[in-house]
Amino acid sequence: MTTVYHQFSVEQQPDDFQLIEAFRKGEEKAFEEIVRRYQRQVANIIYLTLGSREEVDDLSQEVFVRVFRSLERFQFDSSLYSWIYRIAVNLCIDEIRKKRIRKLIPLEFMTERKLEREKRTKETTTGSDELLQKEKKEVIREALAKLAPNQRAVILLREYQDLSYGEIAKTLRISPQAVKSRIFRARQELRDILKDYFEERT
Amino acid sequence: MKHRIFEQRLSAYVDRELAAEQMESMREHIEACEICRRRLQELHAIRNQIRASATLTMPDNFFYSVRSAIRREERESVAWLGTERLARNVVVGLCILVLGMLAFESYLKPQQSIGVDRYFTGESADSTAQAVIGSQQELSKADVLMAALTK
Repeated sequence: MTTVYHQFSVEQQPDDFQLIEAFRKGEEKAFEEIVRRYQRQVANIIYLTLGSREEVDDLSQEVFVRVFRSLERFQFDSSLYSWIYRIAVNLCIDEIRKKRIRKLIPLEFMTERKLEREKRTKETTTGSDELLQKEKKEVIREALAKLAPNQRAVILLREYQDLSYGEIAKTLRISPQAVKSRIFRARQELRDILKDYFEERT
Repeated sequence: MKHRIFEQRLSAYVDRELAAEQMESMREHIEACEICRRRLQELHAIRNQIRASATLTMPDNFFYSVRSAIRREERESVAWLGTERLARNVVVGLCILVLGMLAFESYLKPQQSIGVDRYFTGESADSTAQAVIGSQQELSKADVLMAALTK
């Protein structure tokens, strides 16, 4: 029997809606493809929203378990990816509320940063490109961690996932105007936090 | 137009979320404004750094861990359904038992007699008997006994 999913060749990948149809016909391979397609983005959203690597695996798993449970009821009124991101963002915000993780984040980043500095002092050649790159990533993750969770979610969907204001509005179920002002405020805050970093650069 | 208004529109400009004519006037302003050019560079730098810091990759076997979690959850849900059904049956059984006991108790309980009430309030046997007869209620054994004993 030819399955819906296997009708597509390697070159002609099924789109998301075709995958959902195949999933509804009971093809496990279709769900596997959905997971593989979005696992990286989901993991990074969780990573940058929580500011911690620790719970990324468990929460990413939970996101896809919820996707599996709800895919039957998916209404096709939004794109699959914005629906999956909504599940991921809501899970992160719940997690932040539950554990008040926001207070813990700077501690973790500070530890990471301290370790990095110690490592750097041990290096005979200081300021190698690789270390500078690591330092930059650390700086931005630390800055993101200082934003309010709802601002963090909006700016990540915009900057990392490249969603439009309309898509973010649908994903988070808020108005496009609210998206616009949250992004504006998040950028202002990031700019204030990163002021020293920008001044060093110029 | 004031510089401040352009500066406030920079965020939407970098996201290409302004109307066409605003995009155009913004472009013209940026060409002439050093401060806005610098702000724009900062916005691009933030975007690039966020993208560069999203470095996580998931292991190839991640899907299998998701599948195991789904199966585990399904097993737990089946087990829970069994427990739930058992609990529901126990509750229904207990309700039936309690209702049965209440019905049985009310069957055994003697009919409340008007005479007994009056006896305990210290009224005389005659008035008790008259009250009983006057009430036109059915006489209970206790009424007859009370009337006989106190006459």
